[in-house]
Amino acid sequence: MKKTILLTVLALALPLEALDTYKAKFGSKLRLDGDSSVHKWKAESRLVGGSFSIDTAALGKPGMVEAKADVKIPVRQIKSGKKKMDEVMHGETCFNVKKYPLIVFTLNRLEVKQARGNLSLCQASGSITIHGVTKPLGMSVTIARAGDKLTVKGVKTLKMSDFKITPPSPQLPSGKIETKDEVKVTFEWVTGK
Amino acid sequence: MSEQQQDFNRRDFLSTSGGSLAAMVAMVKALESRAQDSASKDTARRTGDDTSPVKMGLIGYGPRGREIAKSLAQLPSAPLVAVCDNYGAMLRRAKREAPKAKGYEDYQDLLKDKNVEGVIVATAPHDHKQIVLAALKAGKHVYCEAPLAHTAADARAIAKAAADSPKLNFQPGLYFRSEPQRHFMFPFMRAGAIGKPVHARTQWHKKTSWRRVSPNREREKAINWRLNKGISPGLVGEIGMHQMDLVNHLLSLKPVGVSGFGNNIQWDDGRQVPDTVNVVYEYENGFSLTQEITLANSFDGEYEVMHGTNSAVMLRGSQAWMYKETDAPLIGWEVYARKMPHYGTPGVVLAAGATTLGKGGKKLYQESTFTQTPIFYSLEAFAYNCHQVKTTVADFVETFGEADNETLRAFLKDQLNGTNSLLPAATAADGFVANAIALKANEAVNTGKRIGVTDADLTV
Repeated sequence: MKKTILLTVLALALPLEALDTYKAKFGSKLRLDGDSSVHKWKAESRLVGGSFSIDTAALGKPGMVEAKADVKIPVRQIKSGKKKMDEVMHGETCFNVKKYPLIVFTLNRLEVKQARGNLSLCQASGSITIHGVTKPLGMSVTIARAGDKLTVKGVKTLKMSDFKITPPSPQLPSGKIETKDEVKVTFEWVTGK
Repeated sequence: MSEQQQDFNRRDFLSTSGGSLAAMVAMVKALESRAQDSASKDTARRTGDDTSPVKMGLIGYGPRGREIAKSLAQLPSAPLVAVCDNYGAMLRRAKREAPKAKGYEDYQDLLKDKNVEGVIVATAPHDHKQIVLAALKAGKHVYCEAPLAHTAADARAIAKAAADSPKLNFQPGLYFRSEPQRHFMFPFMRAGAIGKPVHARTQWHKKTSWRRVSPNREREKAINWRLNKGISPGLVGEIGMHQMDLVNHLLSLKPVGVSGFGNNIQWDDGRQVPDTVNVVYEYENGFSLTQEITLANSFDGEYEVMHGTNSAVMLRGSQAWMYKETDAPLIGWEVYARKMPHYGTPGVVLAAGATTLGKGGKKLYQESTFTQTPIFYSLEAFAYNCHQVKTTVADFVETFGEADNETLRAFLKDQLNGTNSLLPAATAADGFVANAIALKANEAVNTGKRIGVTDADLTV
């Protein structure tokens, strides 16, 4: 009986131990695209950190993949290229960088929908924390394998108001700029062993 | 800021300036609006009162050091926390004029002060190398007055040490690179608005002796290093270099040779350095740059003019004008721009931050809002960029761990330049190149011979 329990425990433990661990590498990109009543805007960062544990071999065919990931993005590194806009974006009335310095995405489910060569189209789900507010998040991602590297790419549109961020509306002499609530998030997360 | 980052092409420039006037107006409005939202109401600054401060230490409290201290006093982002001068009277003066700053007689002691994050080196150029290298070793961000050094070897050593310290922000004091009016001209000039560059001329006229006095004979000898041929970079190194670097930067040119001569006309006081010099730089494409510098007459002050086949552009103080040739093609936006009679010809006013659209009873057009001195803007950029480098390095190490210099340099270039995070400022390599060219010019003045400038001379 004891032997059976031990074997069962080992069998359950094995898949986790078999996971490959990747760490975030330099080369990642994050881009936010938004709109306003005056013009479109964008903000970018090259700093996307965190780690990725995954059964790499399972990416080669459709089905569930054992995987865990924590993606961390320092918010103060997301910049628009315009100093004054960055001040507004990082300030207390928007991202409030001093209080909430990181955006964190935690992956808890990954399913390969299609696999072709070293590319896998997957459905990822987990939770994302922005501005101290945590929400569930599901999205399609592509995972590319190249040597010891895994690159995860995806696009997702989020609403600022879902994370208790009021879209900035700076005052103009003739009125206000109304920033739209939706923000398109495009990312390329480079990880390596 | 890298050239690549600033390197607008003609189409980008025209699409912003002429192609979509409405978009440009909206952009200006948006920026003005954001400026209004900022805690700072000082439109002469690009940073606000709430910009994260970087604590500064100043080494050298001579006339230049005092000018720097005066600028820092107006910059909340760069509080002066320490001053060093090895001459007692200057140190006492620093304590009077900057009472919040801790005084040091030895710069090594200032470098040990953990409260100091950034160091501004305002000593004589021949003392720069040992101070800058020690400051970088002590982990301080460094602003080094230009010229970096009195010899190319020292300037190269400084630039190399800066390149080997990617975690630290190093800025040479090529202040025109940070001055908003001149930076505003960058895309304009690089977009080829003047046509094919033909010739440039810079002038610096001032009636001043350049001699400093002290009751102490040894001290007087030391502070008059500018009049000592053995260690002085001369008028072309101390003054002409800034204007020459500006022309080369705006037109993306490097000289291949320089000729010149100098004379002592006014200040015949035993000095070995000419008070009036004329220099001509040659370029491969036939372009030339003439510099006239004198300490003997002040008429018409200082300015830079760049002549092209389509127009000439003059920069003077915080203003600039364009004078078009009658056969020059129409760009478009200049039809709407303000014209100002100058030198008997109507010049199109090119002023940074000058468009104000009838707001709050102001004139439809106004002069540039950037009315501070070039050194002020240079220090503002230094403090701001120190903060950017510091926080980005901290986030990089937190995210990816420690990395070798090459990886870190590549990342910082990508993140900071890629997201336009820095205020415009010269790099260490820029400081070296300008320094090396100016020293060649000084050699030409001192020898009366043409001096060649090779790629190897301009490589760090």
